[in-house]
Amino acid sequence: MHALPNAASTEARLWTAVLGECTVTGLREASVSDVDQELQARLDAAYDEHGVDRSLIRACLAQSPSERLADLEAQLRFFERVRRVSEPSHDRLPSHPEDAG
Amino acid sequence: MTDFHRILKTLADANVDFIVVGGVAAVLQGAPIHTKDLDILYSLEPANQARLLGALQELGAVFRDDPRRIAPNLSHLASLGHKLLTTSAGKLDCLGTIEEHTTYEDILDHVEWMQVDEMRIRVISLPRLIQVKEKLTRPKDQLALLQLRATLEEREAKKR
Repeated sequence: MHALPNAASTEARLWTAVLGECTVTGLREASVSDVDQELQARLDAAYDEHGVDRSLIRACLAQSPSERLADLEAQLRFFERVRRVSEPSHDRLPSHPEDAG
Repeated sequence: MTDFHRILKTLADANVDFIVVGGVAAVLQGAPIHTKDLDILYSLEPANQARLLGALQELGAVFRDDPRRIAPNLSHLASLGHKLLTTSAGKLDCLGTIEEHTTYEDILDHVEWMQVDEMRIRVISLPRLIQVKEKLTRPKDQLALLQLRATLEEREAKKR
């Protein structure tokens, strides 16, 4: 018989993973509204007055140009795959002759 | 299948004189934006046009949205306009000029050399890219402008 995981500690670990260095102490005792406030504060801090997510920019700036390009290509390939799957087969025309093979 | 890396490598291996501009330049500069095509501004020198043509042939480039599958030729590349192409590695826009009549040579003083894997490529500087976008009025350019300005601010803050 395997013991069931301690629900409280599992939840605390999950919250710690989500929040990183959380300023809310005693997670097991923290109320949902405390956590909501913490998350809202992080969200507010991420966006500037124009609605630009500065945290995304900082994440991109932490990458090398090669990594940034590889990420963009991966996104495009993902969308291309999704589009092919979602299109009826008779609509799947190759965008380039070489794609036909 | 989009493979900007292969397009850039083909151009670099063919010794084409070009500068990455547009959305991919923004991405390389660290802006979290999405783009589906690679824009390059190329030197209009005849020898460079010939090198570019060779690279485009290797990539199987044809004009986009034209069922006749017309391949670009030297006359096309000699023109100042935008050549909107599709290749075996994705969409590629070859620009003879940007803005009104800004050429490759005009932008050379406003580029950064970037190492992308094994390649060193010229990419338009972020401040100059912002200037280019400021003259465009399309909604998507205005949205990108917010991201670009914020990226420049974050980069400056990182330096301090």
